[in-house]
Amino acid sequence: MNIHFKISLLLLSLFCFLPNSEAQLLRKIKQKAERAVDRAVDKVIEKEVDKALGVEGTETSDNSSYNSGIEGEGKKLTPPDVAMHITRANEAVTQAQYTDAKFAIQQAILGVELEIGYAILEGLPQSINGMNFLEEEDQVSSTGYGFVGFTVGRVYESNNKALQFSIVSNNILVNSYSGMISNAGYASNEGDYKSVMIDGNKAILQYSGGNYELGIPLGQSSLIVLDCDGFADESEVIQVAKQFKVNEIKAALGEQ
Amino acid sequence: MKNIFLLLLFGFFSFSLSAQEQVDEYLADAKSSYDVGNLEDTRFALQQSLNELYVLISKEILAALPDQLGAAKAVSEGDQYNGALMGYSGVFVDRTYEHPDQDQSVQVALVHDSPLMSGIGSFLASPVMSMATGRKRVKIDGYKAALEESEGMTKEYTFYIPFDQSLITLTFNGYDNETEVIGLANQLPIAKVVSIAK
Repeated sequence: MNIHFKISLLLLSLFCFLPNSEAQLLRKIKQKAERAVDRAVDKVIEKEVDKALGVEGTETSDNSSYNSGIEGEGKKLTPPDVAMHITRANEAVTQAQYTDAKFAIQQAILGVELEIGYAILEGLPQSINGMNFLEEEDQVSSTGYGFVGFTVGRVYESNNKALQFSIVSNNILVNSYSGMISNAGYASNEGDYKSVMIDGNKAILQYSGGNYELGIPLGQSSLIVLDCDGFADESEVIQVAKQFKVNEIKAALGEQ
Repeated sequence: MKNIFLLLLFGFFSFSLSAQEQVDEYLADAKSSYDVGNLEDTRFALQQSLNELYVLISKEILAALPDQLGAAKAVSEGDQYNGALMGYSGVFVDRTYEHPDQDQSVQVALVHDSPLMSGIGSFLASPVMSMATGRKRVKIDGYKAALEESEGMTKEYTFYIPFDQSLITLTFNGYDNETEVIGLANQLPIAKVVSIAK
């Protein structure tokens, strides 16, 4: 049996798991946005209750000073040192210690992907259409495996709206998603899907249960997803999407 | 003429770079790109170096396998390996053994370092799955494995041995004795393969 045929068979079986992974990712994104909205609603209710009880202005335990920079708070882990891991990988390859070399290269990939992700987050707007970003929800993740990719996420919210901005990059799933949404048949399904252009990039706008989801494939293996909750209409979604510098993100990801 | 000769010589040497030299070359590219702040090129060069490293690991795994398994001999010209697995990280290694006289063959396949494998491997070898599908749980060279028996044109025994994010599959075709296949599977240096791949 030819090796390519075997790999195709294997991939065919693996693809059975793909829609689940994609659905899981989208579900996760949606859950985050829902949590963000819940928090916003809780804040409003809390304020109203405080007003009614005449204790307006007092802080709840959620907003207490334990997270305001006092000792013992802890710090985020720093990304792996890329230069050091490249040097380690070099030494390990020279000594034919391939396991160590593999670990060092994977760590270097992890480090460089995290750096790319943090640089992208740095360039994203801090507020957009009256919604402010939630710093604690900023997220960059990488597996450290080549071609499996990494994700970047940011949440924006106001009293009545929430937006989850996500990037999935260098992942083979993205290619299948792009192929699917470029399909004219998919885009005309019962008026729930629509093709739009964002800064010269073809995108698909989907409406479901009061939410808008905009998917913008970038080049060969990256994808931006905007999950918009509480938006007035599709023109607001497109107007918000245009405020993200999509082509700059595309360039940072090395996509053509 | 001299230039053409030099070009041909350069071409020959660039094509005859060993996998180890290619890893070194990609790592040097990664280092120089990183030094000038070009993160995307750094990432690409690191990914390429990882692929070449997988080639080195694959060759070492193939070298660790025996030339003969019982009476079946390795079809060494059929040895196959492939890095990166078409977009999924990892390695695919494959060796076939064939009996010179009888219609018997053994296929040893390893899908290595693929994140999807961790779930699939544990799923295949889990006690619950074994009970549900009638697979037997056995130990091969100290590693837990799921043994599946199937009857088609010929009888086939398949062992699934998961570890980390990898899966070893041993397929015995044309054998009709379970004790014999377990004995033959135990002649394979699974522990050594795992230590190379880890």
